[in-house]
Amino acid sequence: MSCDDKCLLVELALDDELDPPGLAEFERHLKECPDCAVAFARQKALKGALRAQLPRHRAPSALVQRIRTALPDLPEVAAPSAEAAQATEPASRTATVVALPAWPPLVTRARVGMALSAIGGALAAGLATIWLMHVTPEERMTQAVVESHVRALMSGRLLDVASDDPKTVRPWFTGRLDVSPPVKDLSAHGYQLVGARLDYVDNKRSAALVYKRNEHVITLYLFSTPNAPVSESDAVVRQGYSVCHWSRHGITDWVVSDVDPDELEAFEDLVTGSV
Amino acid sequence: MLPHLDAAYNFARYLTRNPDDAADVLQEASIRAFRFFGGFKGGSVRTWLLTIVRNTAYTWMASHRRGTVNASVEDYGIERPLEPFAVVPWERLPDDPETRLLLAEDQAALMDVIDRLSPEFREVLVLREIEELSYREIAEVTGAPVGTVMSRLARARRQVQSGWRRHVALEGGGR
Repeated sequence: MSCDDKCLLVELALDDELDPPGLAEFERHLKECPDCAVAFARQKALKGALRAQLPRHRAPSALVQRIRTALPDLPEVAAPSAEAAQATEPASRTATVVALPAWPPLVTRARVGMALSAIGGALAAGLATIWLMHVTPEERMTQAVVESHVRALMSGRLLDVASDDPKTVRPWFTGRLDVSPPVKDLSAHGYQLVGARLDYVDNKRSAALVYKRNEHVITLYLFSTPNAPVSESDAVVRQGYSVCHWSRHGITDWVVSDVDPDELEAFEDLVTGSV
Repeated sequence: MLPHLDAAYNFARYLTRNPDDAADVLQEASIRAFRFFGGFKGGSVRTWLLTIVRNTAYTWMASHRRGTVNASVEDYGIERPLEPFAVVPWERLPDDPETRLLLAEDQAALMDVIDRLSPEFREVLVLREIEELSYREIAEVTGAPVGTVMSRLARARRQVQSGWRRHVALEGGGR
């Protein structure tokens, strides 16, 4: 791995965003690379200065008091309510109903006027918040694979085993996973196998197979899911990455790439052998 | 929610750069948070509240200062003139700026550098270094992809360093 790749890791290391093996590898690199060591020292000094010197503003007590008075029933609201339960349904209509309770009593007339003029925005923000907070397991998993894919690309730790030969890649997982991941050579279809790595996504071990199509990197994550029913999803787009997943024969596959969703589904068909 | 009011106020203060606006934003955000609590689906209450504070602050600044949400720092109505940071050649510096930064107790100058960052850089820096949020949490608060958070954070740090170099070059030259 070149030094340029490692330089990206300086900030990740300081921000506690590297996993323990990544951190250990980075620390080894620091001993060998004066440039990175200097960059690391500087970044660390900057971070220390910012943390030591930037003021942490505390809410003035009069303001806290005002807010406290404005929200007298907060603990009851915080408890799960019928409305909150209703809002777990993804229908936006339900969310709208929840989003329009009476204003808290302290709100003055002037404020109501201002708030009414802003209510479109407030409502949109509220709905967006509700949507953001409504995270299904599928969505959480989608985010997790996108994050893993992006982090692997950024950190340069894309491959544990580099090979375009399925006969090399597949045995590498023996003893590392409780399934033997099927690895296909799809080069005839324009998808070049470049290797694989062992990854840890959403608290689960995964075989991450890496393919390339032109300059696009495709990561295919395989999870052992003995009890998962046969299923497949349409491709969705998150943060510019297409993601889709399917389950069969006790293995769940998640695939993520920056190719178009249609192309990703074509890749899925090749992997599952349905073309 | 109440235990996180300090964090929420602090974030609003850095976003608006003004205690009065921060107070108004926090009050507004608290009302919104209260009204939308039914929409809270678990996770970190603090992250959730900071998201609302951020949305409220941008709406607030847009409507009270005639700026737009995506506008650069100039549009947020700061009184003093802002000029872009000049690039100061390293060799002219009296000594190592990062070392000076580490040792200096010049909080006002550092705040000045932070205030001059454009909002998208200032917010990621504050969320990371003061609120100590992870990249993922910052992504949640700012609605930006994790990769964007990383690159904004890197750029914010570079800008702080160059802003500090400038400060050291100006101040240090006279000492």
